[in-house]
Amino acid sequence: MRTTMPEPILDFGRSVDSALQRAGGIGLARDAEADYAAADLALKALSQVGMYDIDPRDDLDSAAAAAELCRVAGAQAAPCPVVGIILRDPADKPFALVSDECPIIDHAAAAPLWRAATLSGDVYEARVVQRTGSNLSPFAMKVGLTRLDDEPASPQDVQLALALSAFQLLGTGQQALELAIKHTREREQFGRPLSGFQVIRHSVADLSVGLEGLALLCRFALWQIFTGSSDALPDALAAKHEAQRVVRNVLRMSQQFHGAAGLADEYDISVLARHAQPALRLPTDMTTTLGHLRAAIEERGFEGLYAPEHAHRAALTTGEAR
Amino acid sequence: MSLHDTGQEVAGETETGLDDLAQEVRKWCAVRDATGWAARMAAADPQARADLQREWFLRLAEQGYAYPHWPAAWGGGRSRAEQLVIARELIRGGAPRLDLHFVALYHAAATLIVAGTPEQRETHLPAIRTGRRWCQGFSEPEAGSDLASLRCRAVPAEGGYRVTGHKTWSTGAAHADMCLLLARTGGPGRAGISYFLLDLASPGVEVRPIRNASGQEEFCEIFCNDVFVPEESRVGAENEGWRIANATLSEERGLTMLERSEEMATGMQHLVRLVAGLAPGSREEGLRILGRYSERVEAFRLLVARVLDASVEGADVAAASILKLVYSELLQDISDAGLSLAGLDGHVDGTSWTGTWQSGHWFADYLGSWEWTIGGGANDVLRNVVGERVLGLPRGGTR
Ligand SMILES: Cc1cc2nc3c(=O)[nH]c(=O)nc-3n(C[C@H](O)[C@H](O)[C@H](O)COP(=O)(O)OP(=O)(O)OC[C@H]3O[C@@H](n4cnc5c(N)ncnc54)[C@H](O)[C@@H]3O)c2cc1C
Repeated sequence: MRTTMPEPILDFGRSVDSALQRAGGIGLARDAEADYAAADLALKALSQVGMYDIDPRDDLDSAAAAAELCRVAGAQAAPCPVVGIILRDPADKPFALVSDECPIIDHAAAAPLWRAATLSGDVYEARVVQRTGSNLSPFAMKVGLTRLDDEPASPQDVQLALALSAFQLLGTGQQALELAIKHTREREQFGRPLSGFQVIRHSVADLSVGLEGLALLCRFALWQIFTGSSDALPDALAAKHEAQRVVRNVLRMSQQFHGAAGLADEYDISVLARHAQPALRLPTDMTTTLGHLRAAIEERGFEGLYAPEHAHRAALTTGEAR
Repeated sequence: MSLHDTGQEVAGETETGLDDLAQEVRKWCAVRDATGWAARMAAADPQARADLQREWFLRLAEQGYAYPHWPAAWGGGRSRAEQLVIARELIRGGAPRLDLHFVALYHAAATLIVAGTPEQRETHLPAIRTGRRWCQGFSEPEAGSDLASLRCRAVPAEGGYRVTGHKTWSTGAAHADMCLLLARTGGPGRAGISYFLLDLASPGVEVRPIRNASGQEEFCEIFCNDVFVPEESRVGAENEGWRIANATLSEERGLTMLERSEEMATGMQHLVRLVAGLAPGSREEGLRILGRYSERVEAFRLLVARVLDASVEGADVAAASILKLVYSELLQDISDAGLSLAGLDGHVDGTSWTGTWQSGHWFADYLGSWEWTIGGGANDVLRNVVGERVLGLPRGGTR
């Protein structure tokens, strides 16, 4: 596995980033709460940089481009269902993972009909029944499910949905860290910048290490989906679970470093943290994700990067899909 | 009073008549439909909610349940054990929290009683009893944790002062009538600060709400532009404001923690209900979480009782800081664990308003819990207080 993304993919990420920033950046999420038309601006920006031309199922490079797009969308809190659109079906229905007990889809209103699947692969058609009633995560909506007697969902779709959502959270976490660094450098109390207090420096350092680990795990999951010798579900679940754990903490700490400003919507961190909640909690919250991960490991084993037989293969492979 | 006695008191066994009082409050909550009031407030828009809250407050006041902690001469005079029973039974009875009257009942009252003149008490305490609301105007954009660097200025003028400055994060200011204001009358630092009672209706005062992460407009900015404040609205001597602010802050913090700890103990039922409803596969994890938090909540309740007893003769800022540290982090941990266990069910069908951990709606309470590690002194700063004043460590990062 390559531990860094190839340069052309990083380049693509930069163009996605500037397109979203030009469209309004995190402000779009803020605006979309009052008027959903702002969400269209995000969609338009993403479509101009080629979101609709990427099919992550094609090969590892395409998946990596999709992942980079999701990461950047997460960093900008883009108010649209990027993972769902990227994994849409041939009839253009976006795809979402749901829990059949309490099905909720983030930005469900972006399409009249969705193709939905549970983590165990049962396939449904989903349509919006109501907003969640909570004004706290404005776009997550309850959906009604109709069971389709199709084949079970393709394992690749399920795994990609988990991995891409982990990338999206990774971007959110990286942005939260950036905001924390910027704020604690600029904000002065007791005659010095907050970043001059060691407890803050240490915490920020811990957060950045956590995110580095998450980034590697996300890339590994993606690589495993295309090149692994075994089923990559445990890897995809591990990436998602780690994203839920790490990014939740980064958001909390970054808000804490902002003081009361972290709770005021005039500051980006407040908007980012709220809009990240659906991705942090869907299709299952951390505890339940961990349950799924345990079950998947029991059933299929967990090869991991450093499994003995795997280790030299990983070292020899350059990151190209075989 | 020993910790052992206090422990029994928590269980409500040492004073006679407590059981009767508990029953009385319980019955009152049922007759007055406390849960109905809470539900109506949760559903109301901000202005309607504020009106409902005043009506509810007046009913509590009439019954003697709104300020049992005040001195007897002002209509309180209940023992600590009685206060505890009243707080606990109101919470158990589902009564809504009086957040908009909170600063008036605790902070303003403590300030007036501890440091006010007889005239100031006569003017303001009865008005609080009939529903006048207060907010706190301490923090400024550039002065948060480092409050002593505040810049809002009060310049002597004929018969009083003219005040100019910018306050922020003032909770409930949009619905308040009066403001506890700290402003600079002297040189830099703590020694140049005075304490004022500001009438928010004064010409030159402007209040602007700030939208917060839960979508509420709970805290506000207050702009003072050459506002006249009469001499008799200063509390204590000129430049004595810092000392007074500290004394009254700790006075109020201990008492409010009593209420919060009861709220938390009662709130454990939400966690119990949640764990009881878990699928067999998650039950074990749920029980482990339940065990862990029951233990911490109980320890917190005992800590509150101990700190309150120790501070009977004089409030202790450092001890009060410990309570807020423990409470805020415990609250966040429980809300987070609860939301994680409740999963998606904790996300839907929320009430639109919740103060602390009392809605039984995990998502709202999780977001609400974020406030507690910042408001009233950020936790890092409280840790400094504990290190320096309790443990006697050398002074570190702060002045
Ligand atoms: C819900 C809520 C209600 C509030 N209500 C009121 C009110 O009614 N009236 C009022 O006047 N104010 C109110 N406040 C403001 C509150 O008092 C301040 O937010 C608080 O004192 C922190 O100041 P700050 O927000 O400027 O954060 P900052 O002081 O900028 O601190 C930001 C971060 O830096 C850390 N930090 C600061 N100094 C140090 C240090 N020396 N060492 C290590 N870390 C440090 C803090 O812990 C924090 O994490 C409220 C705040 C909240 C969140």
